[in-house]
Amino acid sequence: MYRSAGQSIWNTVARRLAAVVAGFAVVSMAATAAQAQASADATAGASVTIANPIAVTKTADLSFGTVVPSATAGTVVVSTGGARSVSGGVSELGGTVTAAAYSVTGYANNAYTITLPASATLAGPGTTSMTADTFAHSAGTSPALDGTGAGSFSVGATLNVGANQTPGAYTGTFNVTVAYN
Amino acid sequence: MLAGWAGNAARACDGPNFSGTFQAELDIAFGVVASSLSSAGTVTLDAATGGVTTTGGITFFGGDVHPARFSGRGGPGTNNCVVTLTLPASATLRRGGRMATLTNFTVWPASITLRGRHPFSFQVGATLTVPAGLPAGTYSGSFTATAVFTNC
Repeated sequence: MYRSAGQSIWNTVARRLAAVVAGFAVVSMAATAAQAQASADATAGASVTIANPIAVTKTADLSFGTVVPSATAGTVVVSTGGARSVSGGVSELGGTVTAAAYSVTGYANNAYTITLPASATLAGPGTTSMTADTFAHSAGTSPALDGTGAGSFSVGATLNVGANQTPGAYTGTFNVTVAYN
Repeated sequence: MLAGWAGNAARACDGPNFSGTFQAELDIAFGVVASSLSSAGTVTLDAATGGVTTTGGITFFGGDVHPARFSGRGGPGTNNCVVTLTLPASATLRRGGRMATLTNFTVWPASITLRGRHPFSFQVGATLTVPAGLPAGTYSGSFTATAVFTNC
């Protein structure tokens, strides 16, 4: 009540009373101080800024196009730039050739890692299959998101074509994983 | 009237009203962390060191990170008073309808013995639990610490 508008009046009254009863007050306080406990409250704020989880989205599939096998095994390489080259007994025959492409979203300017599979299987007619390996990405040794939290990279691989590989369409899937450093 | 007089005398431990000072000086801040789409995680802020440890699907990026700080000053008659902090079991940080939870509050130091009217200060840490897929943004809340004065 001493913080009210009437504070000055009350203080005056209080002081006068204090002069009168001081002797009693000292006695009573001495008696109660030994076991007294006091407390006071204070409230602090708390905060955290949540950043988006890192996420990766495929924007293009990896496609080796059309190739022709022979009695000799060979390989088809699609670079991260989407360029195809062949070796061994494999020859090129057009078709759609693309590197896989990915977009990444997350916390701005933060570094991240890309994990590629060691190999993937492409299933063809019947029980036939081919294996792709030597996956590579275009993001260099230290991938990082830009100032808007965006990133992108492409992925190439090597397809191993067997001798007299059965003609047909071969398809498969592989997983690419990104994570914050 | 008599009670008012006693207040003016500023005997901190003579009654239910602490006559010294006690206030929150600094908020607790956990900086910037990324949630995970698939798993919850925790961020623990050490009361003494301000260091951060994480568990689960959490990535800690740094930023504005510090324990809360509560401070005060003894009044007349508080010499040798022992001050401890009492903290809530939990508190909530909210943004819109989503929230993260603070639990396991810790205090450093555990207690302080007052010397006359000298100032005192506590730091408070806690563990923040971040649910999986918590949307980006700044989450905020508050918690109340109670300073308990004993042994005056």
